[in-house]
Amino acid sequence: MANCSRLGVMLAGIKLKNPVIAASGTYGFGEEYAPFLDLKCLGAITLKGVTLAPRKGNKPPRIVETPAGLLNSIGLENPGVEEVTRAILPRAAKLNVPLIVNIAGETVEEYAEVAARLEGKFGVAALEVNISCPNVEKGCLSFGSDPKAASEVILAVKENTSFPVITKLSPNAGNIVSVAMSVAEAGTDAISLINTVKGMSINVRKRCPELGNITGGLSGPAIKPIAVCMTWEVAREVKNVPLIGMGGIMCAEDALEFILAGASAVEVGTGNFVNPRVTLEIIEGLENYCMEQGVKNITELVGAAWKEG
Amino acid sequence: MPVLIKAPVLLNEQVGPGIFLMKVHAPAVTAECKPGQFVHVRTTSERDPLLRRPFSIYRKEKDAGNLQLLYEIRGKGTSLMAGIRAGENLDLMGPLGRGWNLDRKPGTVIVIGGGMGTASLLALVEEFCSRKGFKIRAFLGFREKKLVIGAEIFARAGAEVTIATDDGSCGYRGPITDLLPRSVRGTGPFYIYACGPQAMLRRVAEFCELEGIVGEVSLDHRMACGTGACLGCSCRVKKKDSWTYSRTCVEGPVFTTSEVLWDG
Repeated sequence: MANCSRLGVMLAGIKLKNPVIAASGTYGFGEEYAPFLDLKCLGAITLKGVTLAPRKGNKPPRIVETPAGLLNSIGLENPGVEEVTRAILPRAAKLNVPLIVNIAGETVEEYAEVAARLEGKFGVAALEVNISCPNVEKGCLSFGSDPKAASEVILAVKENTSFPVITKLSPNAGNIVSVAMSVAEAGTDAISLINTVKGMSINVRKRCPELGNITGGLSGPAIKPIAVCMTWEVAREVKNVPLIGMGGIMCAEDALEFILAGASAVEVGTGNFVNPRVTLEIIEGLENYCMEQGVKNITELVGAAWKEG
Repeated sequence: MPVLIKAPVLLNEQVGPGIFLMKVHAPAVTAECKPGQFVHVRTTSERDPLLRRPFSIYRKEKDAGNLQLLYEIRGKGTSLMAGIRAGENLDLMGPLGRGWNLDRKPGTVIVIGGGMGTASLLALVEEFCSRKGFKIRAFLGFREKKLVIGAEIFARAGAEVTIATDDGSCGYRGPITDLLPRSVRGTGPFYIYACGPQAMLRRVAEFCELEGIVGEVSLDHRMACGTGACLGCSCRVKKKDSWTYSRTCVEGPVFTTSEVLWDG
């Protein structure tokens, strides 16, 4: 398995054995994938988005496949922070892998309250603040598309947690770089990008939208070039905050694109649906690439595409 | 525990118009799987079509460790699958999901299949036929005669088979549910299992309610992960006085007729 010294990274004060993280919303609470791989081999797992109150989620159909992509509109279905801290976190903590808890809310106060309820919980390595879900009516993306509102959420979360805070940004924000700069100023410890790209699909036989919620978020290989570009753009402007790149990563080469664009780590989402062991294959591929290229630690590659350009 | 394997394909042949039977060697799956469970198949190593496709386990040859899948070409994924040749490998995960309830006292088993829904029922019929004291009746409905698949296999397995087609080209003309026996009360233990189009399942659920019994239906919803992680395949089920979303891939695909909410 991966050589820790080559792939080991420090991210927002968290020590990861490698920079490959399972992405929120695609990995449940971790245990769903336990039959298929040794979860301890992952850099970290980001859990399904958690809100203050339980959420039932959106009306089905919630997913539809598109060319090299997946449109989803789950709508942040989750059992609520109380159930997560009581029943789920203790189980997830036994997986022996750093856990990043993704949190969402409809108001600044809700984000703060969810962060407060998670404070000090065993097994948690960091919080990922979701200000980028395109599938809920209130909150979330409305914060993520406005630099000032985004910074208010991050300030409020930072006040209520001692965990490192990662802010997850949306490609649907008018200007992702200005949102990134704003949350960096508010003290986010890392930035993850991108969440899904808003999209829709219409069934021409039934003459109606494919998704129950009409619109959804697009993920998968179809969005990778958008995600690499945004990682590049944010990396050029926000140099003091580490980035976690994601969007359509299916193999080590894809992950390397994000790293070379300026990401210190990557999250893998939709790829897990296609190949539950894809994260392990990416880790192995990164290790091989570093060996072949004489890279002593993968951190050397972060932003190498623009640093040398 | 489900496994992720590359299973050698032993056979993949057309058995009807656009309908194929694939046999793969997958002892790790056959050792574990129960009737009504499914496998999640990657139909290409390319990135389009992207997602896996879920298929009912049609039949298992436990001693040989072989698994049979019956499928119809519906789109890109199944079309690619039809092109896989014997000797190649099939990338599959499974067994997945909750299968049919097999914990039954001797009695009458009625299976109702519509179209490709029959694929989920053969393994169930074979299971009950191997036990003592069960009478099995299979009600199978299809669009037309040339799409009637598996009737003789159900009969060979030991079921009494009744056929209906939408156009009357084989058996009864009309919905198969028209033929369900009237008033089964007092005839001893009586079990209903159904898989097929939503409209058919809904009529089965109404039948069960009239008869005062709880049947089982296997639902077919779009699926992404197949392991309960993504919540993409959720459907509405009753919970106490209210309802909740349940994952077709984990809590299903088999649900009881009394829990499914049919209004979407």
